Amino acid sequence: MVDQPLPAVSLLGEFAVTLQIAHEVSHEVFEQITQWAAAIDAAPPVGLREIVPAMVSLTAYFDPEKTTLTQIASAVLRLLPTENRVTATRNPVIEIPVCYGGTHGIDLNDVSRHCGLSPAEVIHIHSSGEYRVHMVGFMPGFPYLGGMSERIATPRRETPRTSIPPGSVGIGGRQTGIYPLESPGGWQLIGRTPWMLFEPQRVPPTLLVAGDRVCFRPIAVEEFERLAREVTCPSV
Amino acid sequence: MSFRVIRAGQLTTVQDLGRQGAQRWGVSVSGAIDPVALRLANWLVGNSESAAALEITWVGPDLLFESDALVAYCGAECVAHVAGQPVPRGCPLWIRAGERLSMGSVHRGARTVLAIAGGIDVPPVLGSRSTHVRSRLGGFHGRRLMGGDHLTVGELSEDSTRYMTLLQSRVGTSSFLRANWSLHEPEGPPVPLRVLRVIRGAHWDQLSPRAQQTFRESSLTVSSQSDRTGIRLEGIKLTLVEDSDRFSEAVVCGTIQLPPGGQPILLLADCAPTGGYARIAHLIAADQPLVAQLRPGETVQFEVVTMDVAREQLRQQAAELHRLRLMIRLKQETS
Repeated sequence: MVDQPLPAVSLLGEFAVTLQIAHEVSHEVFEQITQWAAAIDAAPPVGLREIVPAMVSLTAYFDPEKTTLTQIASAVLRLLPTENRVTATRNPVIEIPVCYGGTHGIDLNDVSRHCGLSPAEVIHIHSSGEYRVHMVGFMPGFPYLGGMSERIATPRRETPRTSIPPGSVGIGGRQTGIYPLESPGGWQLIGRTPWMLFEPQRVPPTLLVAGDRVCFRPIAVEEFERLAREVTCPSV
Repeated sequence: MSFRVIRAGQLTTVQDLGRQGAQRWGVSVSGAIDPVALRLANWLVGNSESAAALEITWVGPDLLFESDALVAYCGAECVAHVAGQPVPRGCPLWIRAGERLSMGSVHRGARTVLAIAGGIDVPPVLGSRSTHVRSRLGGFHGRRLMGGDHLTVGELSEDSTRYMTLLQSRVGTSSFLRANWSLHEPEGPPVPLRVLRVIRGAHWDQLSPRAQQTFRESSLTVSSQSDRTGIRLEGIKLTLVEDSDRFSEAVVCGTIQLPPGGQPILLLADCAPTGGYARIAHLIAADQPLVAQLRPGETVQFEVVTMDVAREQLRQQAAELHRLRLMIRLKQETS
């Protein structure tokens, strides 16, 4: 990245502005963006249409008939919390049941080979960490989770799969995430949750939002099947 | 009020002006790729501009109306017939119950919007009726239309009711009636090369001066690997001065991304709300209708303009649309 004084303001087309507050992801930056988004939600400036918080930036979409780019950028920046006001949020940890390996996690053996660990060790490491939802994007409800142990980091598959079942839990490099919907994808699949991460009728429509704390609980195939029957399935 | 899909065409989906406010949850905006065509078609049948209509790509559907209907299509030219008679673009059409509207192949462009008085009545999802096929969201069961589908239209507006009654009083025993006027839509330039205007993106300065020149001066070809998500452009290979790791950030319809391969992608309405590639430029909003009509193999050239030019072009387009809207109203009331 080019060195520039932060926050850096850049246009995203004619009706949105991206405000970048850091060059690198860190716990502090993440907390700052999470609280910034909350402050904007609590008192949205005139003409603001929506915001998209991301890893090191926040994008504000505005209605050009009600405000200008300069006005919205300064109004949003005014709500940026200073770093020393940032304190850790105290949301409860969301425990997501995951059936690891077997048909639900077909790449578990590849991951364990790559990392020089046994499959049980990979499961143990993945399910004993606590993660934060850094952002939701790429597809409806897809959480980018930060906080995974480097010991199980594994590069994406060389050839992405054309179809991944919904609920699949994957590792892509140093990140882990969950595919909420059936989709193509290149992450290493180590397990699957029976939970629905995206239900458009719900408010908000995603199980996880940026800022949430998450952990994984290993479950057996039987429990996966029982829980899968309990949750509503999308009509096809 | 309802109709049945006899044959669905190539890619026919329900679209409105898009889904605002849910991008932070990973939900795409979607909506008609040609929002001007959607607005015009809706106005022609007395709908509000944001009513849901059918977006047709390449080859249109055959629809059987089960009740009297008022329809109009805008955007690309399309070979359309009712009861064996050709029906023109940009013209309100009254169609008798039991008749069939055949939308044939789309030419001089890629996408046609067919509006039906009352709007397509599918349940709104997160504030919009637009279909996002990839996430099976919105529209008719989250998918493209298929033969045999049965759709309903919403309640008619006062404008629609009045105009339908007027046309009905003149139709006699015919199976359909076309209005004695039609809209002359603003046409794209009739040259084989389209100039698309863009403003600089956040990572424009990471292109070397030479790469910037290449971007400005080259003709790019629309790849066949293009869809509602984006248009891939071939013919140049651009490299960034410093292609460091980038974190995923917001992108929008019109963003021109540069993946590591060096071939730009112009994102369209179905793009994901975030992306990790460099954002070198953004199409100006006023040129969105031109992009909606690009066909694979066609060539484009980019012209970099200032934000002031972008705003002025949009203002002119809004003024032209306002003029057309008033003209449509006047025709519906007086002719």
